[in-house]
Amino acid sequence: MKLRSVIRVLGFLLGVTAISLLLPAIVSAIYHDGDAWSFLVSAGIGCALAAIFWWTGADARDIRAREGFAVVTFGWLAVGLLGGLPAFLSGEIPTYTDAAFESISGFTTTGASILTDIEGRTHGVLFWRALTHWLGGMGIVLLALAILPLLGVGGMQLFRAEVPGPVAERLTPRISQTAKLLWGVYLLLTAMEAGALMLAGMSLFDAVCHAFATMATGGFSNHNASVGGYQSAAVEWIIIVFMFLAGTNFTLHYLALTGKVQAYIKDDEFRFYVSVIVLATAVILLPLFVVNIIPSAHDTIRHGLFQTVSIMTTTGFGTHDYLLWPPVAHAVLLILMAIGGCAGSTGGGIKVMRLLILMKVAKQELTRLVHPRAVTTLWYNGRAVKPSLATNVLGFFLLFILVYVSGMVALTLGGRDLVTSVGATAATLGNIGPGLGSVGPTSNYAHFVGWEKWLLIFFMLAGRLEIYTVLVLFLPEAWRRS
Amino acid sequence: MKIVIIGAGAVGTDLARNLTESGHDVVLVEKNADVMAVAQESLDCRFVTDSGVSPSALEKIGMRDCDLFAAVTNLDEINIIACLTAHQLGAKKKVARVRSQEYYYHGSHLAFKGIDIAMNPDHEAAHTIRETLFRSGALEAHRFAKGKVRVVAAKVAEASYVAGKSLRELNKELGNSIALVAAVCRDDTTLIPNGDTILQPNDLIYFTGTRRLVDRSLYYVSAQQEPLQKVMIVGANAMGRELARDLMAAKVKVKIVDPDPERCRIASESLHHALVLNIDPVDTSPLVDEGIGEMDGFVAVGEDEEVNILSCLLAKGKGAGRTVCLVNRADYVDLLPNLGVDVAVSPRRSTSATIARFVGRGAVVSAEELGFTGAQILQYRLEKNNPAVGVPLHKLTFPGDAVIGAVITPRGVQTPGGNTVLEAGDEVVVFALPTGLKGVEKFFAVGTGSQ
Repeated sequence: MKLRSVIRVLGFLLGVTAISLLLPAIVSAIYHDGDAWSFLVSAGIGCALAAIFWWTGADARDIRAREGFAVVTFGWLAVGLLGGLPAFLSGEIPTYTDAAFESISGFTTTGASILTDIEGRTHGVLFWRALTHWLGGMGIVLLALAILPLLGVGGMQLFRAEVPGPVAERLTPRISQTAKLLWGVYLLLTAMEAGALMLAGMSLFDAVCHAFATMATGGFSNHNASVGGYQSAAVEWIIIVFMFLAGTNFTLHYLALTGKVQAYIKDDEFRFYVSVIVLATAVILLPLFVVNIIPSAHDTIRHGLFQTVSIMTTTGFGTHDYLLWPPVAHAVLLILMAIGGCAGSTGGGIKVMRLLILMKVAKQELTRLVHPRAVTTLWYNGRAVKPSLATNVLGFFLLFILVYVSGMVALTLGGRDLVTSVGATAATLGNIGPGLGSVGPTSNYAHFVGWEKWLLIFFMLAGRLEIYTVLVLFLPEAWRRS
Repeated sequence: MKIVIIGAGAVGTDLARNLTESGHDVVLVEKNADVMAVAQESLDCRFVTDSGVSPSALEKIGMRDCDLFAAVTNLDEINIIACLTAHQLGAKKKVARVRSQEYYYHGSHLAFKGIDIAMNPDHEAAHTIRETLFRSGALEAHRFAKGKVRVVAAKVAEASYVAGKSLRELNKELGNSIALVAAVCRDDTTLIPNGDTILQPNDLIYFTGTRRLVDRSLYYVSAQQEPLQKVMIVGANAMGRELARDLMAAKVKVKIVDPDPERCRIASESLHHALVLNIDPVDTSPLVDEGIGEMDGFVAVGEDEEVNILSCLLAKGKGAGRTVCLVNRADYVDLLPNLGVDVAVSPRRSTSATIARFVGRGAVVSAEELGFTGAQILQYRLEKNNPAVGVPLHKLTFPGDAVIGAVITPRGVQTPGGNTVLEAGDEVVVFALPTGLKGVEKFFAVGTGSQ
């Protein structure tokens, strides 16, 4: 591995983060919350680190797959650690562990919070929280559709040919092309949502923060009661729509914007994504109507759909405490947490595409039992899929389950109850935010102790970076000099 | 007429025999001396052992006075280059045998200017097999004028409506709802029927008309009408795959069998919903496990002809519906109907027959051979100065042993009657027995100036 090339890229990423820290400083100054200095100091520290990294690093123009893994993993970690500084410096979040947890939760678009009193935080901190989501989301879109396909991670190779742009051996030229197109889509959808939320009566500040958190499928809200705090059906419907869009492959949005709207219907994954949402909502709504917790039918449907879409897309906003719902709802939501959004969206989890491929592999095996001489091929989106790709996806699934189970065991070892341990692992590994048990939608992660928080930070990063990217760095071969 | 043929393989020798027998001056060019030696034993034409793509060799043979240049080797590229070279050197009509679909532009034409006709026998054969499979009771199907006119062969079933009735009776009873019966094959002879001809069980009759009319007529001819739902194809080669694709587009469930794992892999990766099975078609028990007997249709288009025949016999024996076998060797083509295999399609044979038909017929648009009868279906365009224009059919002296089966006018397809008047620009589909062929050619050649 060319370590010095990696260091230079990390320097670049820290520099960008340091510059973006100026934005919350400006917001702080506008609202006179007296927090601007902490952002400016953090930006200064960030710039200094960036300079040191940049100068110790070496030419990074031809980084390849091996360096790619390290850049992605350490990049996310470094940016997250820097992002935790301002809230810690200003004392808004007393311990650095908590500040780093909040920041990494933001950059991984998880939305798991340790804040017990969100409404008491300054505008600067709230804006920075939302901005970490949005910046993280930008990274994810790029990662999922431009970088991971080239690195060949977890079946993402499927998207290799989907986005127009020059194909090159080196990572950089293609990435910058793809990035411009997809960030355009991302920016446009964010602006549309912010506008719609303002029309529905939100303040500019809240509208922008929520648009950031929705499009990144993050889930940080400016209220203790999350989106439910606004008591507005219009706001909830708008957020349902944009969460759904954020959980969709951004390539499809791009194609739709260029006039190919039928791309949505033609996409196997999108169709499956919609059917899972419809089915899950139906299964959740039935018992909800029976036990009649929520008085009006419209509210029941809205809350049911909101929670389904919020969990499925791994956003994690809440309008109603689903822990009060019948147990079958918890089961369905737990499954949705694992599935997650579409590949190429900002959503986390296993991804709908992989689930679809896993199901096809299973069906293929059944076919082989009935027809022992059959020669079968896996088809996805009308194309034959290489057997190696199916194995790649199977491997991903296995690793996901392995990390999941070890998280569950580790947390129960520390004395947590089983439901909380399962919920917290699923919610961080799937980048959702709220889980089950003591980390439900109305609670938070403040009561976890230090090592548990760092473990969950690891899960957030591993889940966000498609497991492989992080775990590959545990192989000694990945570090060998080439 | 001087005809140059490149390639002395099965197609080339068959074509050469066809053309020398009808009195043409044939030059057969073949690179491989051993192959040439085999051809020399049975053919009466000029032989040149040289490369068919070499300009100097072609120059020596003489291209300026060459009326037809047919490149029919096994290699598409050789055929294309040979035709282009011949074009440069001044040959008149160029025919290339091109099998690979990738050379075709929008499906049916080549993008090369010097090639007049591209023959794709595999493609044609796959098409014919498909048509044949779909028409229960139909044994053979041809399309004319982009499918507006169909020609279908069917065996008269014992319990059918038409058995034992004369054409005059049928016309009275069914009027316009039965298609024109253009030819009847009975006991190895083919005849053009008239009103007094009585249809007998086991007669093979040829209908012409629009698709709907032909479908309706089949109902009167055949005893049962089984929908085609399951088809097994032996041979995952290009033709098998094309056939599978066609059938699946029509919602038929397809199982495709091939002994070669690599061909199976290619088929599996190019056919989405087909079940590809890596089974040797002579291996009975796995085929029975896969339900060979429950198939509505069984098609064998594999590389090995004997295996094709054997697997068809196996399918027939286990109770499969119609079986279609691909054979190239002429001896087998005549043998198969006696073995109970419904239809045999021979792409190489049809290639040579089709090319032979392009020789010396001015206005012919399309031509096909009727099964094993030797009779032909020809499509002609009527020129302005043809004496048949403007005269009712019953006043015309149409050549004997031939009949007009359908008239394609700009307004649609007509079944010709005594009062039908032909107009310039109309196209007609003509059935001709071998004995009537000369007369038909003469009749339509008037005014084209090519004879």
